[in-house]
Amino acid sequence: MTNRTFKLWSPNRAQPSVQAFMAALSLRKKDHWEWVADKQASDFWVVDCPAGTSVTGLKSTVSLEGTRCQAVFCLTPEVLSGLESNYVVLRTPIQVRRLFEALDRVTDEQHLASQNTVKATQTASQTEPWMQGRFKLLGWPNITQYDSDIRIIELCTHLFTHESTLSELNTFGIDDDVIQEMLRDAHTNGLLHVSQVTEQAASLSTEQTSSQASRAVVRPIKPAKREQKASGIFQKLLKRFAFSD
Amino acid sequence: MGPFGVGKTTALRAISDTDVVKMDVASAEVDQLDSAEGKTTTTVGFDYGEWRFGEEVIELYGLPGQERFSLLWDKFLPETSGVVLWLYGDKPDGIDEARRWLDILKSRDAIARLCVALTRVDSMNNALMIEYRNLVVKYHPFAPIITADPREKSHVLKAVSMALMTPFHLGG
Repeated sequence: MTNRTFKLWSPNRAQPSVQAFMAALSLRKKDHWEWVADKQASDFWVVDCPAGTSVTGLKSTVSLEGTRCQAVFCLTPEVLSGLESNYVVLRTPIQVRRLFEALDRVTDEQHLASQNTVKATQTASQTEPWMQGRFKLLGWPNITQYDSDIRIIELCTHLFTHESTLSELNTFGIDDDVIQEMLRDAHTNGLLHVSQVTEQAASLSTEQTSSQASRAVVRPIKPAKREQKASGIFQKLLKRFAFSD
Repeated sequence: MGPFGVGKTTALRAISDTDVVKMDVASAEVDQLDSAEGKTTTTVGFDYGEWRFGEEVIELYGLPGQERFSLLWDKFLPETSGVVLWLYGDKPDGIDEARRWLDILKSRDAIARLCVALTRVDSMNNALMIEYRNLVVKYHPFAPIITADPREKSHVLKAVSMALMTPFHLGG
């Protein structure tokens, strides 16, 4: 494949996260990346999203409508939920491998779009139920059998309370193969509830189909003191032990 | 916590930042317990370790498994942020033993933040996992059941983390 040239723009070029992004990008020889001052002339945007960034605010500030921009890279230390697939969430500190995977994805999509061809060829794995819709965990899979550090527990906790799509899980920085393996196990064991995209009605939060669905429902409430303490301890463990395995 | 010899002290040692303060003496029970073959000491008080995050200290306790130390359970369990229940996965009466421990935890308000860790069992033994899941769900619909080796730091870390992060509020 010939080297392609992509143009990048960022409103936060001086931010450490964006500088780290630029440094990681310099390691990529596959394509040519060029920073431009004119956002309208760029293919991708890179935005620093510090802790506490509101998704609604982000979407209104960085709107892709009427631009040639194909995707926005959102650099964030937190989980950002509810963004469409053209917002690529990358957790900071940035992992080069995760960045390259994301770049492969968006550049391939752009390449295909430019040729006006059908989006990616369907592979066997893309026919898995969770590839096509939103899903939620109904119970814990056997987490110790996956080759991942404790970030996978953060991901599972998220999936107990938030119906998500596969692309929304990119933000957790966990290897795609591990996520697929976990979802496959959960599905096999009746611990995964999948809703089709076309059925994203509000009823999804109560509609459950598997035998496990008769279990109690997690109800978000104001956390009690003991819960907050437990969650606080886990956040400390994450900071220390994530990426350590 | 969990039954005698299951690996609680080993698990604590795997993750503690500090040397585990351990209270072991020669055990007279060893000969009576096939499952703990080779173990020559047992915990008669409690094991204590710590995680240190700057000035902040998180206390880690390994509680003795014998019924005669139930006063320690009464004292510690209601105050915990999370409990890992270590159980033998290879015992024929494992389910009955699990039920007994779950009753102990439930009666001491320590069932909500729980992870059940099965030792000495193949992680691919789905039938066993289902059997335990069917029991545990009666006590807590979201409590995780995992297979784990208490010598493996990553397994112990995951077990503790899952106990801390298991959905707490259970609605009907």
